[in-house]
Amino acid sequence: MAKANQTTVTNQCFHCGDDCIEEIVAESKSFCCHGCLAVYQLLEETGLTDYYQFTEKPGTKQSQDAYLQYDYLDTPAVENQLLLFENARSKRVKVEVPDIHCSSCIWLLENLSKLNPGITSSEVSFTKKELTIDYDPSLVRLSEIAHLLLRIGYPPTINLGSKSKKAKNSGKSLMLKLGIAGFAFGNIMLLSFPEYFGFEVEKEFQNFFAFISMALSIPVLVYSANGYFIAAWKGLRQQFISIDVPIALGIATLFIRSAYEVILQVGTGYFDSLAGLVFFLLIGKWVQQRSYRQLSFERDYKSYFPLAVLRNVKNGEQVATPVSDLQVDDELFIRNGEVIPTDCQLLDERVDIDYSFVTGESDLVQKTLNAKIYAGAKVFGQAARFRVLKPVSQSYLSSLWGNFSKEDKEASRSLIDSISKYFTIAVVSVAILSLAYWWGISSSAAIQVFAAVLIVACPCALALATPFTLNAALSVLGQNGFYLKKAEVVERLWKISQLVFDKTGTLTELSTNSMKYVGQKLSPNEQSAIHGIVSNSTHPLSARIGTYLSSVADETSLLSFKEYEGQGLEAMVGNNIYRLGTASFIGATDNNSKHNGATVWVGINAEPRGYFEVRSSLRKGLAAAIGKLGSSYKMSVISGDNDREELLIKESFPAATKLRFRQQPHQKLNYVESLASKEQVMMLGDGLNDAGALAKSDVGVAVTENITSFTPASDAILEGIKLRKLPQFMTFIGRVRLVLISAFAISFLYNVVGLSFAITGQLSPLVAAILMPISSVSVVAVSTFGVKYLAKKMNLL
Amino acid sequence: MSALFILIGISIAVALVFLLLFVLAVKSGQYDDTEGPSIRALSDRTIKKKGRNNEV
Repeated sequence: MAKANQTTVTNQCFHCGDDCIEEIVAESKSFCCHGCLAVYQLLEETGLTDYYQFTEKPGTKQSQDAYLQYDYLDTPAVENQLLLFENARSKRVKVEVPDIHCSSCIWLLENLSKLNPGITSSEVSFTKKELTIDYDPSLVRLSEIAHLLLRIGYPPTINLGSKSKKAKNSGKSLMLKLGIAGFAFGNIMLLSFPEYFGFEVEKEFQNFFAFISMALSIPVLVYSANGYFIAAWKGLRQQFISIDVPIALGIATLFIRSAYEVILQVGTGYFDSLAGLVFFLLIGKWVQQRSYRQLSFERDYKSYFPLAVLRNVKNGEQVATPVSDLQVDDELFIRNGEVIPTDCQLLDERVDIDYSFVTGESDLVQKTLNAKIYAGAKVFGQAARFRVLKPVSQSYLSSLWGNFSKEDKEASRSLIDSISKYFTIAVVSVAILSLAYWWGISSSAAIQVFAAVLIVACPCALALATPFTLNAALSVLGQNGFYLKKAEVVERLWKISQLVFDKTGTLTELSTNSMKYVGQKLSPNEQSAIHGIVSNSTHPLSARIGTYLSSVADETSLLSFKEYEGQGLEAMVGNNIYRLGTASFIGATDNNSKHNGATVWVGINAEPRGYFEVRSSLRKGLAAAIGKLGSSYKMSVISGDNDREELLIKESFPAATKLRFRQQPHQKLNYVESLASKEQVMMLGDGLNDAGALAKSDVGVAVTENITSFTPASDAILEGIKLRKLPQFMTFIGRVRLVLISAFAISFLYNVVGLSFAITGQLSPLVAAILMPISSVSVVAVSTFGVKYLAKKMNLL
Repeated sequence: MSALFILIGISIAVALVFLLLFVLAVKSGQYDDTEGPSIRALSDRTIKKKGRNNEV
């Protein structure tokens, strides 16, 4: 049997780049499945094979169960929500296509017109992962376009209702604010040059320059900086002093003081500092907003749900009905591969369903008449009729995943917010003390000093330290296969005290190497017979054995085949009766009760021959990583699977680790929630069954083999093979905190220098104009280079 | 020296034109997709978007 191990096929699929487990060869190219081959053939027929020129293996693996229905798109009500524009000859629609990830994708999607003449043109927005299609409604229907996209491996995500529009507009307005602030900053500085260089300027010019500067800074104050005033006010109303308060105070004082000087013609004001300050602050905001646009952190189960299902109406007709319109007692008709959208009761004699969508562990279950079936089950084989028991919004899945948003956790304050409270109090008291001190000398000087303190203490550099440090860390981690959704996630990672791992797919991986056959040797003929038998079964273990034996497989024809639910398979090959399944099914006695994994016994003509042991193994290098993490974090392992791999887990995890097996998704969720109420929890999981737990944890990390494939909604995405570097990442993140603190220290230093000028009444516009940019630039430099240096030292770059 | 009044007025007016162009560019969505065009520029191999060219 060792032979089979060595010859495991390692060719990569020409289309999607996955390993070809059961290779299909066509035109001397390898494909991993018929889905990929079909896409290739389609593209070849239409002369679009350039698709494979831009990027190697650009395709996305065809998920075999993607049997989404798009018929409902042709319902006028649905179609109208999606259309951007229509007239008699042409309609324009915009859909999200999350699988867009490379130049080949763009090329293919913009040549859709080659594939269907009804499509006049199509355009991709790479950043937003959106596809705009113009089509001729007389030639092609919207559902056909959606089907075409699905066929070529780019299933569109249809979102009815426009919840994400707002976020996209805010990016635009930040860009405008930044542009205007930059424009004003540059021009005001130009007008201030005479003063910087100490030129004698005639009074009339001085006033002219000052008035223009004031005019230029008004849009900066009113438009560009309005976010800070709004945020400061909102914070104060909730009795919370955020970093925006001293910023808003500084900006307001700068403007009032400068306007006063200019209008009374006693000076030129600090308009250059004002515009520069806002400009730098907005740059910080802009840096903070950047994230990995090519990754999708937001996908939840709804993306995988049908938006509409077939509903049986009275006279025997079937109508595609949007899922949200389903009512209790409606009768649904669900076909092979479709997902049941809400909790239902079965109206037919029997149906095979697969809960793997919810639990992550693949197992077929047979349900009989009147059985209650929860949302998320997938119908397998024969279609069936169901009666709706609950509206979709109240179903099991919605209660599991739908009722909370990640936002309620943002309440945890960041480091800068905890500092800003003391900072603001300190600044205001210094300002008041110096006002009191100078009041005795001269009241006008006192007011000037008071204003100067507020101006110079404006924490521009302080506000820049966080976004630049965290984003530098974000980019370092990203280069190492750990993608954080936002910079704030770094701050949440500092506080983590408990790690919760999902087992299957996260800690363990399935590989053919971890399979072995124990017992009497099987002849090549017998091996191919077994391969032939298991390829007729959809059971996950059958698929594993099939893969294991694929290299010895010849054509085998079965004379009979029967599957015994929960026991095994029986088939006639040649003159021999083969049985595969549990020990008792074969008639064997299992002497070893400590199998590290599942066993499938083989019997030929009622004679037990041996068994296949299918075991999962921990990912490579993970044991060492867990050892390191164990010294600084508490750990738990939760699994939807049974406890047959308990030994494997116990070997590598510290003794204090809590293990929980046979956990349903909502039990995982509840467990994480109860932990999260006491401490800061980081959850690592891989499937939709973990989605609820990921959302409830403080930091949810989706572990995935392929970052462009599906991951549940999460705060971070981690490449599976990089899981072993997690201890290193956590140490790095901890040290980033020190970089941030030193950046804070530097900016405080500048504040102290500035304050000493201000308190002694020496803060000229020139000093302000020099101090502000220098402090900002040096803080940005310390943040960025500090993190890069740290990463180099830790071999992360 | 009073020419300065006019010169500065003109320079600011010119600058404002550019600011306006920037605003229009942002509004028209030029910055929405900052990665796509760079990739698209390389792929002029065979077929070009005909719909676009016909309209113009």
